[in-house]
Amino acid sequence: MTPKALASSGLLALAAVAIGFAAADTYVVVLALPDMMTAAGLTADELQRAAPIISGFLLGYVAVLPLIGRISDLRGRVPVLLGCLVVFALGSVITAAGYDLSTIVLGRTIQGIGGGGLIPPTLALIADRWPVERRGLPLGIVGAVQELGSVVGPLLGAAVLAIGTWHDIFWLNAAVGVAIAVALVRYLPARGHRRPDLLSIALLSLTAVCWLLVMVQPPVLLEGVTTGLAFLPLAGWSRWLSPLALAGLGFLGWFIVRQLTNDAPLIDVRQWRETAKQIDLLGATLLAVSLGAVIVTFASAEPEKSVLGADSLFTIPIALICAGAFVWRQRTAAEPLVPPRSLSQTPAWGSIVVSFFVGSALIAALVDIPFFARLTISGSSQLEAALILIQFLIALPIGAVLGGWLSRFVSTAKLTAAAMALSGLCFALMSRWQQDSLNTLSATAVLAACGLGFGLAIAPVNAALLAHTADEVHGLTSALLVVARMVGMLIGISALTTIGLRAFHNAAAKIAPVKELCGSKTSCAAYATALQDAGISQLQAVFTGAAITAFIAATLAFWLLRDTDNVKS
Amino acid sequence: MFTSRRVLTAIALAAALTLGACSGGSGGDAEKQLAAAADVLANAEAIDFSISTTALPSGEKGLLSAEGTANHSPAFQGEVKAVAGGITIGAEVIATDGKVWAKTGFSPVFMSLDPERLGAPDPATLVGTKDNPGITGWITSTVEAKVDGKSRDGKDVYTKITGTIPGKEVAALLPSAAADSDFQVVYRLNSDGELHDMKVTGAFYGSDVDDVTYTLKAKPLSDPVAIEAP
Repeated sequence: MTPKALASSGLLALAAVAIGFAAADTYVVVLALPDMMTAAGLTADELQRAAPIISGFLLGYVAVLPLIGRISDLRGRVPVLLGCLVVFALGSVITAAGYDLSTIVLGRTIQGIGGGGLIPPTLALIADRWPVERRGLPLGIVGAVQELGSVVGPLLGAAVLAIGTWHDIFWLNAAVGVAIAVALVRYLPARGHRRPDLLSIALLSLTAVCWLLVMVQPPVLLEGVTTGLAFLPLAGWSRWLSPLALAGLGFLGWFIVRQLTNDAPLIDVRQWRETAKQIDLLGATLLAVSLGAVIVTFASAEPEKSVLGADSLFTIPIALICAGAFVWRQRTAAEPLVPPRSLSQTPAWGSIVVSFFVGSALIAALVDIPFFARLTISGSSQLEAALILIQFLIALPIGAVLGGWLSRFVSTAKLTAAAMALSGLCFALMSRWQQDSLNTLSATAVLAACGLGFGLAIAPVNAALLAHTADEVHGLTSALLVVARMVGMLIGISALTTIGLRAFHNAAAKIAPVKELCGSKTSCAAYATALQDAGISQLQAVFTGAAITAFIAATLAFWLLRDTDNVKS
Repeated sequence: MFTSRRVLTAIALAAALTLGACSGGSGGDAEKQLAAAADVLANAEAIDFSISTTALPSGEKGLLSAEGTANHSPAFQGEVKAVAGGITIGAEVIATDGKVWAKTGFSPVFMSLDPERLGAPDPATLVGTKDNPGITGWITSTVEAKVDGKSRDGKDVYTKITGTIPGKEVAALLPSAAADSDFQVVYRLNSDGELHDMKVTGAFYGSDVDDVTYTLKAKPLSDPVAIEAP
């Protein structure tokens, strides 16, 4: 390997580890959620109020992704990766030090922004440094590490919880984020021989120390006769009006002034101002609000029970209005967020459409396979049900690497179409599953093959997008691809749940009354079995829907990604 | 330089005052102060009572917090949060005549329950009667009590007294506590000698589980409070 290739691999490895870690974070809270609810003062019957702990992360992950992608096109990949890691670490610290629901959700949202923002610059980085015909494998590896995160996340969470508290999960996140960021610094474009401004670093650290103390309120200081005064609000009751919090604000103000006046600032405000001029911030905001409203609408629902969140009466109109305004802005702005013609080639927009359907099918597996397991394995816990899903999840990263390697030999359109057809076929088999199906060996094979299909499709879809968009929009278009997949997941689960619930109600309506089945007014085993069968027909309907969605993705991939043979001559 | 001299004077004055406060405390004095504070609680018509901790050791079930009013019948009425199976359950609780009723968020009506099965104490026993004291018994049985300077809580500054409560006293009220171990306690008394709060740290859930710190507050109320079974 040449030194340049070696540097590219090293950089990509760091970015991939960061992405894997951020992906793990999506799932890490699953185990820690009860403890986090306790810390936020919530009780078990207030589960709905705890939903933002999860949806907050998603919100950050998706809403500002296009903006981050666009920035990475203008400012370069490494500075944006570094910035996202710092943001991720910051969000982790806020979550770890969180003292109520608002601070925890705020921390999770910031974590999501940093974690999601890592993906577009990394995909663009591969396009920058690898020629078209050799991008498959690195794309596959990044996809694999990301999917591996979903397997490792819960295990990592369990390991940390065994020796510490949920706070430690997020302190660990912060430490890893900072460590990777430090390792990335050497890949930054050279800035001459000027040393970083030490006063700026000191001011920023002082702000952090002050505000961290305000959040954690260590009893030793809080109860001190003199030191305690620093924590006492000057007016009102909020701890953010205490002398210590205001001192932190003062240090931050000084830091900002320093950035504006110093010759060698830590953050080059003037350069950022130039960048901001090239970005359609109004368009980015409209898109972010629209996506945010979509997330809140769909993510706060309980997918097994209802389709939409409780506030959908407000959020759906907001999403539609902002989406309309964004389209208007795209047409009228001098430099719109998505530069004109950046997605003009069929495989470019085709890969985004395919990602949407891949996401819609994938979510059915992630939500309804554990649901099926809980329903049919007697006395099964959440954990056992999750273990069934592992059989699916473990095949995803394997498929991702394999797909990356295969894309050197097989055309993108054919590989993606075959992969999604495989997953569709597996869903079709699942739609015939019965009460005892999960105990059979063939169920394991079906689950693994289904995961493998989704994995195989990751690299070729990404490669198709990168091959058919210009270098200077790779960050933005990659972001749109990730957003399409996430939105596909959210809308997919809602649509599939609607179909499933209708099937459940149809089946339940046919069950004979309790009195007839059991001979008395109290419930009996026969009635419970009948209800369980209704539940199974609900999931059969969902799996049928997922199979159709996967076949749609396969067909679209075959037609839309067609002329994207990676081996161009 | 006038201002800096004034600051120096102020610091010197503050130091002198603080030192003066510290040197006043001897063992006997601290015990007398505690006895007086316990007496106020024992003679109160009703008490504003709370006990809470931030988190229980991983996997333990037990009491997270209880907050409400109590009298020496003994009876208690208020909000209780308990942890079981890793999740927090909140309930409105009424405890009187040795019975406990709870109304959780899941249920519209009060239901009778056995607190021992939840690993939590009958909250009324924590308050106790005049003859069979609850936590006032912990205060009077404290050994090695000594005044340990001042402590701030918000705008107010309190006298701090540290000491040790024998495990058997704690276990008498909370059966899960290790009777053979000592519990560290920090009291804070206000300028009238009344209890502001007490932090008790020790093996509340047995000696093989991590220590837990409970913060208890008991404020005497001048008017009686009637607490009746639902």
